[in-house]
Amino acid sequence: MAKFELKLPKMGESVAEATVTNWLKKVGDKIEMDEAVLEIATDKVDSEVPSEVAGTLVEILFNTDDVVQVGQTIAIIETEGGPVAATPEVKAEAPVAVAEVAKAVEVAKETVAPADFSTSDKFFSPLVKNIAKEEGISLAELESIAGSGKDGRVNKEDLLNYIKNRGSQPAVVAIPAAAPKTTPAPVAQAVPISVNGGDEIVEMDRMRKLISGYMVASVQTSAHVQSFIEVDVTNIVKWRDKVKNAFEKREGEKLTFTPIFMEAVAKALKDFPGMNISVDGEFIIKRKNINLGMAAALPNGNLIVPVIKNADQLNLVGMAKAVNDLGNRAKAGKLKPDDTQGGTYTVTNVGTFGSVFGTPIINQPQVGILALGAIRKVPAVIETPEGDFIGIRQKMFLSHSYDHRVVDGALGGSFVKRVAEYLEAWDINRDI
Amino acid sequence: MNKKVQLQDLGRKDYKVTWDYQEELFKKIVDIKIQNRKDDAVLETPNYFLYVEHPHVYTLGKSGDMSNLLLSEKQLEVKGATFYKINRGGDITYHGPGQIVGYPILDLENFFTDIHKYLRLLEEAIILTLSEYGLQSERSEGETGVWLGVGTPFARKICAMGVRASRWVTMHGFALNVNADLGYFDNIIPCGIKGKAVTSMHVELNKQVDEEEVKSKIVKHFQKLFEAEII
Repeated sequence: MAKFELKLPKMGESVAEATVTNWLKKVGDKIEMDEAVLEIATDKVDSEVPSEVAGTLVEILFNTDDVVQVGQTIAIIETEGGPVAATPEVKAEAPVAVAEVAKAVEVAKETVAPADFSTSDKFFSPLVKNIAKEEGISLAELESIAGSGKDGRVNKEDLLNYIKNRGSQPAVVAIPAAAPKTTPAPVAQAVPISVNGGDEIVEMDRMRKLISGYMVASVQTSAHVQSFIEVDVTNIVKWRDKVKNAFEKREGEKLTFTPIFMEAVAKALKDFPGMNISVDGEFIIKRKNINLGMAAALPNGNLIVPVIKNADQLNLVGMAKAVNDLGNRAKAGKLKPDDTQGGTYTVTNVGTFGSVFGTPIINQPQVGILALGAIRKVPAVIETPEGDFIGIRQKMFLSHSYDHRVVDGALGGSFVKRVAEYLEAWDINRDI
Repeated sequence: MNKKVQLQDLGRKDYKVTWDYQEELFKKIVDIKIQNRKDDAVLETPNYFLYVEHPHVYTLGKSGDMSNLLLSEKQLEVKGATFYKINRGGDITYHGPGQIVGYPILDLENFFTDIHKYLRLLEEAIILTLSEYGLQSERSEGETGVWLGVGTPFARKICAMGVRASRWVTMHGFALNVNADLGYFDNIIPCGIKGKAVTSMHVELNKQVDEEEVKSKIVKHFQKLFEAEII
């Protein structure tokens, strides 16, 4: 009798892992040499893992839908007769990729770990709290466990059972990027449309059909509400007038207002992480990164939203370059798939067309979108220690649309007010 | 290392009949390999490249989701289409007249043992073929197959792929829309990728395309890329 470790075979240079799709054999089954034991899938290839020995399947180490790394042992087969030559060496290819995955898992665990259990309304014993901390159980998870102790308290057994059933998955919910639950494109209402002789009928192009579907789906999904706030941007206008020529000379690019607004929005999102979330069914996903979408009009009249990744980590020069780069490539139709994915909040500029306000539609599954109105000179009351005066100031409106399912007026309003405060506090002597 | 590949054009053939035939060739190769291992022998394994055109049919891969077929069985009947759950990778797809379907049944040990390289080279053969017609196509990361307009909201799939492999032997393959009626794709979410469109050479070039010519171009590029000898 000898134990044979069935390992996930190497499938090619770039293949580091595969998903178990189906076990063809169960524990206790006899297996012939070369008989398929389980089915696996990678990319668009389905494959199966045959046994290299004859024997009995004694242990299954992964369940269906588990992801297995190349070279990992997936099952143990007990062979009859003499000792089997040690597992034919499966060269552990692609160790780099595997290490990266391991690292990613670690990071994911870390982000989950620091849960503060003292904020809960429920009572948890110190023992339970310790176990939860060690196992990386979040407060929300802990609260969701049905307790069997006194007054429904969660005891050690409840928690251990929960951990066992939950498996080792870190509690990170992944939702498909930028996947608005596509409700089918709006069905043409049965409103009779009469066409006169001179009218022209044009079919929507593909992109317009997509946009049409997304817009209606968003309106049907989110409870849109708006908050508006007026901002004095006189200092910003003056500052930009002062530095823009030098900036263009030095960087070879134009300095527009957009990066200035983007910076303020990124800072405000950092102050109000409750705006930097996504909704997935009945779950809220708190986004770790601040990825700002900027709506851009295409030359053909269509719309696209490229994304500035980790916008809160860019300085103003970096932001200006990112905005220009994405804007230029959007116009040239040269955005890569990655450029339009992963957005966590969106900014749109309705001022370009002279509009003062806007009521933008949320870019799902995000929960907020900010419209920048036109900057224009208006008479304004200026408060000074010597009394109030009327003066000419550069002003604009910020229009904030947010999803009232998960964001209330206090948050939606405070957020846009914070953006305004950052803009009004602009240092006219700032270096760039 | 047998680099000879037998090319067979089966013409218009039922999906199930072709599938059975694929399985037969597939099994033949696998059996030789198993026998070789048992006898410590080195019998050559054959390779095949099948071309076929199917009547209207929807097929669902193992990782597929039934809900991506938007038709009931009744509606399928009305459309004259059939439906199969099959053993390749990938989600749902459609096959029908005007579409070139290619099934390379290869022992990859005759060429190279790399599943991803295999997919990438198949894509390359299609991309090079399309470029001969002035169509610029490309890969879309994480979405096997051949696409046009990647990165724009106009991204559209022109060639679908799904493969099964066991002991380095492949089956199933690619489906390139040449003059296919794309209306049939409206009834599915192709490959489970939402919000993406499909297209055909006919739509892109705005004219009927000679399928025989396309087939011979694909084979030409396949031969070069796989360093194969077509017989």
